[in-house]
Amino acid sequence: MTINKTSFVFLFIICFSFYFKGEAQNSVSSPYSIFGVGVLEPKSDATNAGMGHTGIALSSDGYINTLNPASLSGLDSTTFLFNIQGKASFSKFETQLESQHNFDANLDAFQMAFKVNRNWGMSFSLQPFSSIGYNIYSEKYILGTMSTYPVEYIGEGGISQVSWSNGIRIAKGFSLGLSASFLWGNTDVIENSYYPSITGETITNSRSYKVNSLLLEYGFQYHQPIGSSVLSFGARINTESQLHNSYEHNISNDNGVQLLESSDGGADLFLPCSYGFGVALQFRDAWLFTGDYRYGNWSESQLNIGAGEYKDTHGASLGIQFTPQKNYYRSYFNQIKYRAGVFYNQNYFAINGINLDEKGVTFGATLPVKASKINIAYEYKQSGTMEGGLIKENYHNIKVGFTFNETWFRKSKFQ
Amino acid sequence: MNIELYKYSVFGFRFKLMLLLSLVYTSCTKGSLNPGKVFVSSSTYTTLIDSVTVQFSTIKLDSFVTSSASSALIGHHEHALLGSQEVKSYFPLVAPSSFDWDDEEVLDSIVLRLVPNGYYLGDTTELFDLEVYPLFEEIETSDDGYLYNLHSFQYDESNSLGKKQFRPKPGKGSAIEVRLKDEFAREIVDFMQAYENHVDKITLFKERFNGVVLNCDRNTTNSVLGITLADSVPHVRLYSHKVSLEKETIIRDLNLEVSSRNFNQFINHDSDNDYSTIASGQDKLVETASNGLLALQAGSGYEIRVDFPYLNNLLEIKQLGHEVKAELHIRPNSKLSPWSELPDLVYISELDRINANRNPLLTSEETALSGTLYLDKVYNEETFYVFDVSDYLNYRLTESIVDTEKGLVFSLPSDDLVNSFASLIVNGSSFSNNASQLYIYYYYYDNQ
Repeated sequence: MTINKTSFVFLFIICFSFYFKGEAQNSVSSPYSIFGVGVLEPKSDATNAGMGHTGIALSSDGYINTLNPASLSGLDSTTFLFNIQGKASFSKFETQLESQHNFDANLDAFQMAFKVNRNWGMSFSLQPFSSIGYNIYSEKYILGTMSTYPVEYIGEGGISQVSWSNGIRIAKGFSLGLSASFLWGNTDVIENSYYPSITGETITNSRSYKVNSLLLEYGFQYHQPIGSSVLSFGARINTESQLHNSYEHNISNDNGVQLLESSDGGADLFLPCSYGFGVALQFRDAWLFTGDYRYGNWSESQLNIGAGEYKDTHGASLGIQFTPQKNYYRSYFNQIKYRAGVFYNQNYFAINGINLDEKGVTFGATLPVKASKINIAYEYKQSGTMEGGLIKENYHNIKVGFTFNETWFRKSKFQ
Repeated sequence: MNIELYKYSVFGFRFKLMLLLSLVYTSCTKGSLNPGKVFVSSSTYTTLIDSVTVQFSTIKLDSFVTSSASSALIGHHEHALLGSQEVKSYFPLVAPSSFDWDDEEVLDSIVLRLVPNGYYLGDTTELFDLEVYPLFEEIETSDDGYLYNLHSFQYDESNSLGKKQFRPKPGKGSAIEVRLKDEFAREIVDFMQAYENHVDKITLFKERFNGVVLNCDRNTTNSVLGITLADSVPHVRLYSHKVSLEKETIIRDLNLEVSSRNFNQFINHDSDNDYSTIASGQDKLVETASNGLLALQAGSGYEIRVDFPYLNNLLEIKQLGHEVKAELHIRPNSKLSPWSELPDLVYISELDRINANRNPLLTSEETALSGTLYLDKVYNEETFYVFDVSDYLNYRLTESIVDTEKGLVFSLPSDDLVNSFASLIVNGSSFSNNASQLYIYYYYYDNQ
């Protein structure tokens, strides 16, 4: 068992360090990430993602449900789960005149969860909260002239979230959850001003933001057996939170002269209260139907959105999972869980009155590999629009999660 | 047992799979998007500041070295703004090292031969009256070994050695020959015969023949000619002949000395114009005292100075931003300096309150900074020189107390200065139209 722990810690450190490496290398995520806190990343892991990102009412049965801390009470008491998840994204951004294709692959998240006692499940997780990655070219007028100069806007970074979550069963079928998350992030926002028409100096104006915050999430789940089926309800709520913000401001020219160097506390950002409800029906053992509703009170946010306006967000998802029950050992395909879902999310800001809602379909599967599981989710998502000079985005996202449990460690003991 | 366990856990297939997953960081982008202004909200901006007052003035070099010049200049012209201007060229005569004169030899004539170098100023339809005078005194340099534009040596204007009227041809053309007086030839021959074997022949020759000045009749001449200076030209050519069985023509050349003792003298005859009031090299004739017009001219030594009396005002916005470009636009007066006559090279230097301590502005390659000339050959309205003074002004703004008594001066290359009347008449900042101006492109920070 000592060796198991050593390997586990070793793996954890590797993942952790590569997570930060990945964060530092954040590439183009979306031009819309220039606004607010960037593009909000879904919390769902590959299992939930395959069902349209639903799962507020699902218990952590064989996997770590990150959508509701109350789900952790449903962990198997003998199981120590570890999940590492990667994400690959093929995206196409389109305007009326141009298009851009992007490919990104990086480590998305990892979690571990275990049962403290019979009624108390606990997890630790690390995953992105939002991402910022854009490279936008624009032009500005030299005031007082008819000349323009090109300006390049580069944003890199995002906010990460490390969470300590707990789910406690307080009555038969009824659980409460509490999750405390520490949010932090580094974002470089760079504005390069070029002056080719007057062969002037190039000015690089960069701000390196550091943000951090504590975020609390509460949840509950209730599971009501109905014959051989189970009807479940769940809800979660995030309290509003201040995102503490500080930045270093550097302005330099291409002759290497530092023109301005300052640091400031900056105005704190506001993360609004958000909540969600979910319902699930486990129909016998084969079919699982899920539905979630999400709300974010973003209109209260004080985030800086230049041409945009904040708006409350509503979102909904529907998901289905099928688990073949017959001939389980006869065919490997009968051991796979199959998932599908649809989702719709409103964006937390609109630009010039134009909404930037996203909608998509998902498919997923869980493939058992010995005592571990590989969770795969594919998502096709559209967001944005080409109206008003904006950008329409098409994403093909693939999430691959690798979940293993204590039996994997324990297995070696018997060799 | 434990070793086996370790191998399985850390080096097992699934561990490697997870490790591989954590190593996958790939990103690539194809195509570009310029979504533009909807997306960007920036409080930085760049503005053109053209309201920083600059003060132009004309200054005049006290004197400048014209000896050892690469060419000689002769002529007179009436500058539309600067008035009557004249240039004369002085030369010592070089004694021939040998002079074997035969008693049967008969002196025929003596001519001065000049080869034009191609420089020409004036109207080619007008005649040029070239005159050659013997000097009364020997040409001697100043204590520093140089001769300057204001130096002169005496000669008798009523007693020329020779004159020639001709119609100058643009370009180099053929040699100009001026017939000199036969008496002058006789004197040379007699002297050389008398002192042929004298050990101090060369010094005695110099004392006897002080040299010549090449001049023009400024009453009739309104053009300026450049003359090539080389080892064998200009020279005085003696023609003689002997008669035995048949006539034999003999030619002897006496060179004019091309050394530190030949020089050009420049004279401004007009004492009535505004520019002639500049008393010394330390003075300034501000543009408002010369109808907004500024003079930069070779030969006469006029130069254009620019001061930044309100540079301190820029210090007030120094914390708000940065100058990304500063350009001085110097606009020639289209009537007095048409585009076809503009100098190609105009340099810029820093100088102090009394027009001294010149410090050339340099490019990033450490070469002398010159103006870029933009020509509008059709309308001549957008013809101007641009001087990039970005680095200079940024440097000036780093001074804790900006010395507003420092200025900049526009000057011509030294070779032009002594070998031409190249001129540039510029509209000052107060000129009614097409005024010269300082343009500053200023980037304002978003440090609020």
